[in-house]
Amino acid sequence: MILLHAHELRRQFRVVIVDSRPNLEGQQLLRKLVEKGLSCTYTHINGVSYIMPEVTKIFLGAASVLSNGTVYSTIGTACVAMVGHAYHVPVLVCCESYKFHERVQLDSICSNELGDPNVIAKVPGRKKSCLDDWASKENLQLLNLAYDVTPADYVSTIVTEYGLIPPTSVPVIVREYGREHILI
Amino acid sequence: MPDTHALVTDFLNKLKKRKIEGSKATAKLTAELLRSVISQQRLPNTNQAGALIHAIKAIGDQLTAANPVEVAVGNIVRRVLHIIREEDVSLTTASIGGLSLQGLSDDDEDDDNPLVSAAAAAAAARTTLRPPSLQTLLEDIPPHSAAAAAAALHHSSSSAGDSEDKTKSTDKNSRSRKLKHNVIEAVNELIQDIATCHELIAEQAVEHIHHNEVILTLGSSGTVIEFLCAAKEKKRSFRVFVAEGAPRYQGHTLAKELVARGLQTTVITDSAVFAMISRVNMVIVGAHAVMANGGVIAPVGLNMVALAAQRHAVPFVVLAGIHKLCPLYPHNPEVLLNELKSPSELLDFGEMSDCMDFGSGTGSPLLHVVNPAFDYVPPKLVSLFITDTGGHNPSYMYRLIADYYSADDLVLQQRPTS
Repeated sequence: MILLHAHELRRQFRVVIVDSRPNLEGQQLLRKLVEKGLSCTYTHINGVSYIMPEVTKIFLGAASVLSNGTVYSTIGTACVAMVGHAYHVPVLVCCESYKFHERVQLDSICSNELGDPNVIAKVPGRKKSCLDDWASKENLQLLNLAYDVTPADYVSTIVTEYGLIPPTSVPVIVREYGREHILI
Repeated sequence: MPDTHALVTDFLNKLKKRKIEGSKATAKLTAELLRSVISQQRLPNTNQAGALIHAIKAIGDQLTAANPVEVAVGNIVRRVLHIIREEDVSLTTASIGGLSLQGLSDDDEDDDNPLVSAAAAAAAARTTLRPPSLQTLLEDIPPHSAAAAAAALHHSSSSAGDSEDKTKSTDKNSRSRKLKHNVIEAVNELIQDIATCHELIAEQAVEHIHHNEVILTLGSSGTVIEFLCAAKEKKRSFRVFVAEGAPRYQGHTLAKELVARGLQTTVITDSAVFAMISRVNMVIVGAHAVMANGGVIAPVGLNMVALAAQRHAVPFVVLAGIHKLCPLYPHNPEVLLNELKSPSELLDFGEMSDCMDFGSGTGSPLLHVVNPAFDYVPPKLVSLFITDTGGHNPSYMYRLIADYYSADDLVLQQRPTS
């Protein structure tokens, strides 16, 4: 939405879409943006280090922002934020304030969602994958995590309807917003 | 020699079409090619090593130009050049040793010359074998110093007398054959080394992998398989996380291979690397090439893994055979030593074509697809290199490399002949 609005304001920019398996949601976004006439570069999450020197800003979405400032988001977000941090590119997380939560979390393993392991075994564009019979093998497991946790120090700022706030201000917003809610 | 020429062109074509995959296979083929070139090369009577070096350099130049990204080719060419130089020097010093003894036993007036030449040759030997230093650079010794010393030796001995000269010339002939023979022998040893580097690296596995450890790897590398299996054979039980290494999905083949050998394996997506790394004890990966500064050219995605490992203080271990050590210092390696693969691996052409308006004619297409093949991992992210000679710190790589390559061969391109 931000990108489309900026495009409508006739700002000149280029979008790099970093996609990751297994859902390949980036392809839908790519389709949407290209249809609107934005200039796009599409790459895979592994290629993120290659493209990062060209990037000037990173916009990420979030499923939730926890009150210790960590961003709970679709898997791969943390990788992009980390590489961006390493290349000194500002990382902006776009998130409405209703996604703020008072829970805290330190790693991505304690609370997560497991996706369908079968999608890992399938490789798009290949008829036969070498992991087709994974279930029959005792030693082999496929792990499809749905979310990961981005540490707060990778996040430069969080874009909300209250404006741009640093990740450390999340608990403040949660408290104030919560109190307002109680008062009304 | 049309035979070697055909061989070289055939190999060049294969390199250009990227038909040879993997640095090990490339290194082996290059060494074999150079061996056949050396064996068929006709050598002049004087300055044989110089001629041989010249011939190899010419071929090496072509080979590296054919696939500049595959540094293994250049490495092997440099190794062979180094071998030639070393063999030449050892032959020269050996013959000088004999000569100086002879000179001492001879009459007094001839005593001077051989000693002087011996000193010159010894100096040459030192400069060739000596690692690159500021002094050697400043002294400005001609590149074929050893050969020049050999020529000097020839002159001095010719002044000594006719009868001795005849024996020298026959000696020379046998020496020419001996040089070639020795060089081919040494190149055979090199090929052997490349073939066995896996085992040497795998032998060290037990020192690094402990019970119940969790190891993460990405993509596929023959060395990594051998390494992990060697630890498994020593009754260590551990778990391996394999990131699949999109878009080539070599992790799948690696996982299959590991499971076949009875290892506990879990396949994860590349994006889950950061999430899982907090539960990992060690990252073990293979490399495409190791540069002189300790940086690694690795399969794409490894820079991300290395950063994640650094964040969680997980050791990042790179396994690399000796043929992967490249004596060059990289400049902008992310771009210059990289290769962009076909976009079709990432995106189906047919799928996106409907929303692409090719008729708009704005000049530049809206959609770019970037699919790099390699990543550059800077030396500060690497904890340890394990090579056939043992474990090394990234900062020590330049020293290791100086043992295997001669400083004169760093630049393979021939200067335009004046």
